[in-house]
Amino acid sequence: MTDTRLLLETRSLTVGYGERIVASAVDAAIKAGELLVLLGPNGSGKTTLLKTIAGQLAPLHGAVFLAGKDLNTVSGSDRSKKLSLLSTERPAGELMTCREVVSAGRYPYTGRLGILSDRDREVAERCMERMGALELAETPFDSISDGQRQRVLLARALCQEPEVLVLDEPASYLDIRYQLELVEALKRLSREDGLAVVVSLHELDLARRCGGRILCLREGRVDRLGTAEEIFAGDYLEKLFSLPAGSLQNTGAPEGFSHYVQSEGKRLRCGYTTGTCAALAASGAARALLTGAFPESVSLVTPKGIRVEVPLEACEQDETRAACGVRKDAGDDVDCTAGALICAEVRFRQKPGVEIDGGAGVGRVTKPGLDQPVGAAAINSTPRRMILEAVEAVCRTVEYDGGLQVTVSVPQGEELAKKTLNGDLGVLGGISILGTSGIVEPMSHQALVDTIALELRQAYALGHRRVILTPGNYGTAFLREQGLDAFGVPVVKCSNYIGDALDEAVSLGYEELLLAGHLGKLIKLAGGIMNTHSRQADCRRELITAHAAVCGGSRELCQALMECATTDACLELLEREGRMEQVMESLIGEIGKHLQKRAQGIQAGAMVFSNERGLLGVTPEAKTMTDRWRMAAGEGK
Amino acid sequence: MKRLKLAALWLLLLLLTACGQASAPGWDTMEPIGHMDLSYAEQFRVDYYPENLALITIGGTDEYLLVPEGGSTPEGLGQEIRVLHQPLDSIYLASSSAMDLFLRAEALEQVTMTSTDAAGWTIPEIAAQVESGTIRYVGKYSAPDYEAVVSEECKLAVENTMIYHCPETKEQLEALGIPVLVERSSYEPHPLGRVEWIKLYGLLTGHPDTAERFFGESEEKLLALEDAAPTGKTASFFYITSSGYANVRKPGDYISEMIRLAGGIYLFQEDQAVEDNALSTVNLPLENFYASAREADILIYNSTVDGELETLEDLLKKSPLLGDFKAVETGQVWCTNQNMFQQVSATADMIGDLHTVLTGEDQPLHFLHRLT
Amino acid sequence: MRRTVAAFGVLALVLALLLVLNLNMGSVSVPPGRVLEILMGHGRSDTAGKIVFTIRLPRLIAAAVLGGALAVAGFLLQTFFANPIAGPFVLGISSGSKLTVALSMIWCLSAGRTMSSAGMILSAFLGAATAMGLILLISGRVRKMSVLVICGVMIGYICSAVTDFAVTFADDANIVNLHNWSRGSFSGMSWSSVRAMLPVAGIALILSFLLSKPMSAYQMGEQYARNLGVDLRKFRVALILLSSVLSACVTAFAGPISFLGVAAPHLMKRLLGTAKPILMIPACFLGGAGFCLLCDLLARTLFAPTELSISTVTAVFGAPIVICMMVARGRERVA
Repeated sequence: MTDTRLLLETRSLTVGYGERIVASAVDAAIKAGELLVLLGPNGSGKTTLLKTIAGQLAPLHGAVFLAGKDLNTVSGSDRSKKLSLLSTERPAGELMTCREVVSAGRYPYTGRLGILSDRDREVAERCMERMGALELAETPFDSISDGQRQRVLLARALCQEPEVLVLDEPASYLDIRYQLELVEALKRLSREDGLAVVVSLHELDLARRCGGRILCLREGRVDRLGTAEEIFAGDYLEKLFSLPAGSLQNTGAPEGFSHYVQSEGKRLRCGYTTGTCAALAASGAARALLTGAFPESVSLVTPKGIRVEVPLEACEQDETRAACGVRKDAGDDVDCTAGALICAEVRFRQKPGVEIDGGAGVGRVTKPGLDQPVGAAAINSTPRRMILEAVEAVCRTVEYDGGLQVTVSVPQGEELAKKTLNGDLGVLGGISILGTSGIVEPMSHQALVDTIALELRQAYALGHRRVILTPGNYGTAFLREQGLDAFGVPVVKCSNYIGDALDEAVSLGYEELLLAGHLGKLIKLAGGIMNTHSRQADCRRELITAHAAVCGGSRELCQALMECATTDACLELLEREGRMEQVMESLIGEIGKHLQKRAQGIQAGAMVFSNERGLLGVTPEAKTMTDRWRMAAGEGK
Repeated sequence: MKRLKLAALWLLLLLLTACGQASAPGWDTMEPIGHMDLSYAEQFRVDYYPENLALITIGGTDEYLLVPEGGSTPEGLGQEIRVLHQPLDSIYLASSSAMDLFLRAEALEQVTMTSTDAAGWTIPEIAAQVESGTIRYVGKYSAPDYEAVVSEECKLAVENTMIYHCPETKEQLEALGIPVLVERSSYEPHPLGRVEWIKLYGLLTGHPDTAERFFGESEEKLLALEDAAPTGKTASFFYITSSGYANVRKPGDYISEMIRLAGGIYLFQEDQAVEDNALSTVNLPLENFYASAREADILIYNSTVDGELETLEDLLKKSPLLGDFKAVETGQVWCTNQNMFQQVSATADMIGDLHTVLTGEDQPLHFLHRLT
Repeated sequence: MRRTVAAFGVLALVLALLLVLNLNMGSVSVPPGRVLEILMGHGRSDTAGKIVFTIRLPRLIAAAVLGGALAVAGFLLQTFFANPIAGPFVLGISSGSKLTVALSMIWCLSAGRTMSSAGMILSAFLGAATAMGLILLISGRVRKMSVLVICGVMIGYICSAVTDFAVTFADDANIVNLHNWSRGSFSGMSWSSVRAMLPVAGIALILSFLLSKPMSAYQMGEQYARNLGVDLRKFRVALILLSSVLSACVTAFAGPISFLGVAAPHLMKRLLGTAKPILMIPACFLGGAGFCLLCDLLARTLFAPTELSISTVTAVFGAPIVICMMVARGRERVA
């Protein structure tokens, strides 16, 4: 049961002192369970507005409505049972313990002499507990810190059992920890207790964290009312606070990387991969070892051509080694390695050349079929290349031609790895250092589906009736090899959302569709799995094993197949047994069937490849289609 | 016969009741049979009543009925009339000026309490008694030690007009059953009027003849002086206050009267705006005093407030302006002795001293001394 | 809780002790047995009876009641102004009383009339009431309490100036007792005075006690009080009225008594360890009563038969206490 009553409302409210108007024509409505933040420069009228809302000042014009009743008509004691104010006034708790201060909030409910009943004491105890102030109960109020004081005062405000909570700049004297605590408490109170909370803040990132609506006051008028995203988008806040352009760019974002992709009106921030981090760290450490000092920041250009510049952390060095770390910034992407510190240590070594290895927190490959051989550190080839390039660049600059040993480590790698599939893949002891492009493009699910749909629509609008879908980067490379990208057929990356892409293509009215992808992904279609994200479903080994069994594979083969880490490994096994073509044919058949079923009305075919073996199989429809295309292209189309 | 007997019985009854009434007379029926003969005093009167009763009226408003030892209080006495039963053998004498008169009336043994401690008395006989504790010091008049007063079984409290400033003291004494008599001798315009109060004190204490005799002597001394021709000399009586004003007596005040009786002219500029109030002195700014008293033949400095002066230098220290005065230049400056005010009984002698000063005779002085 | 009970126990005990001492000590020694008899009602007409019943008993009742009233008034004002050296006379009450008493002394006596003690009491009340009325008027127009204190002090200065003006033109004889009056004294306290002061002080004290709930809200701050639903305007008026009536009562019957109103609340706070009005008001009453009884005892017995004025004694005790309090407080702040 969610309470959505309108608890606080202002109508054309004008506030001020005597003749002086401070804010005018304020219209606002706050429902139960809502959290409204007031933002605005000094002098914009926030405090005056709050005081008037809380009944401390009389409005000059207009009215304030508390739970439907005009505040003027509500008596002081009734108002105090509904609305509670945490003002900037520093309370003087003379010889009072915190418990007494909190119990003061029961004032509206106690009798003539203010003696507390058992219920009053209970409520006070409960409120203190909720605010985490119970351990302060018997301490004198004058001797606690500012952060603790705010907790106690909040508890006191809650004791009034209000429906509306008004706070005037509550975070002003608090350190970051207490500030965050406060925001959490306010969010809890509005969400769980259904209070309508109105709070004015100076701290912009706190305002953003509150997650509710923000009302911006400028020169006494309501300038804008919206969600955090709306208010923080663009340079609105800079204009509101009369700041020079660009001063607020890094609000909330870590330094150094702000590359964005646009996705349906939302700017999603990109991140950089662990491979990029390793290369940057190695570069910084190398420079420190060879020149004696760590640079302020390090930068490199990713394979995709985007420049990344970041500061270094955890720098340390002596005569023989230097080490530092770079924090991975995953942008707006949902990734468990976000924020992880990737460290690199560089040492001198006798042998010339740069050797790269993995240390604590970087996994070791124990099963075949992955980018790295068994026994090597789980640092993939592109990252290795990036590291090498970065370190060699440093050596060239300082004209060092000796040897260096680079060890990449991740302090919490082992812990983080538990959240990944590394264990299944046979990568033990840490995470993998990955990244083909060096950049992480954030993929919010809805955004991606929309992106795909958009691209399909665009292509359709341009007149195309044929489309090639491919899950990812590997696919595009393969298509190029096959020469399939030369037919003028648009290629749309559908990531893992194969089903959604098919639906969209169908609904748009495409006529021909080719799905080309890596076996590791497309094999899932054989089982009818239309979203190939590893979180959605796996089942690769099971499908191969099943088909292998059906094709007459032995029990040992099946068991061995189930042990495989990747589809490539499975293929190797099958090849050894000489069953590969058979099983592939079987699988392809299933893939084609499921594809056809989903893409009703379209001619749909699938091509499956693997990186090592190239093309593995083609569905009959795909063959027909591609032949047709080649012919049409050959005819000069 | 029966009617006659009845009539005789009625008559007898009437006579008896009449006799009975005669033994307990009602106040309303009583008539004064005489009054005290007062030559100078105006602030009190005494009316004599049968049965040796005496009605004392002070200031025209306060009434006290003096009942002799063994006598009975008449009935029907109003609330306003306070009854004093003789012997008044324990008197709290808060008025310091009255003490001297009690001494001269030989009634001092009936005084048991005073508001001035031993150090404050200049009259040696009295000082000795207070010192020895025969007369007990019970604290200031405004806040006496009531317990001590009650424990002495005080029969009468004689206060001066200062008590009007602290009415609660008077009320408390009365609440304790002690009648309070406020003596107004300070309001008497004639110096001998003050002395004549000794007759009242003599009456109260049962020494009326001693009192009469003493007063008679004083009066004679004064009358002797009155025969002497006026000297035509002008005199001024003053002291310099702490804030630099000259405090002078008003005309009509008893000191100015004393000077007049001594044959001098009390100097006072008539056009000074003086409030007609019950005060006897007035503060003059020095320039006004200069204007009025510069030409005075005699200057008399009042030492009772801030101590006696010995030399002319002492006087000039008070105010250098006085150096211009004629009396200073001619060496006719005198200072009172400390005992002058307390020794009320010696008023006639004081007038004699003044006369001596005014005439320039070479006679011993008791209450003044010359500044040299 | 235990501390509160113990504190009140101590206070009650000390008060009882002082009552007994005051009843039994004086220039005349009355055996305790006799004292008890007199209290019961026997033999009040003889010397001892008069002493105990007519002199000592009303005096100590007055000292206790007025001392308590003064301490409570001091506490009310200290809380109201959040100022530790605010006292019952900070609003100019005693200066107003002094002015009217001086004027009536001068006028009455120069006209040759006599004034009864009731008259003096009434004139003192009148002066206090006038000062109080002025303060109430001003309080309606100001928002900040600090302004009110300044106005009160100014009113005090004005009254003192007018008094000095009047005194300049009066003869020393007429106003000789003004100085004594303004130092305060319990001498000559009669039953009629006690009968008059008991209902006035009693009602004011009870009403003050009933004000303890809004006072405790006010202690935390004006905005917090308003937030909790306290009607600040009414509260302000009530506080000024009550504290003025209490201080006027004291000034009228005994003259201005200094330091008691300032020092007693601090002592009680130390004793109780809390400033809660619901505890402080009764504690201040008991503490103030005891303090005053002690000072009065000393005033009348130390140099008997000369009586010291009560302000002399309270200042000698009270001023060092206030200094100690302030120093201790100051030390905490600096650290």
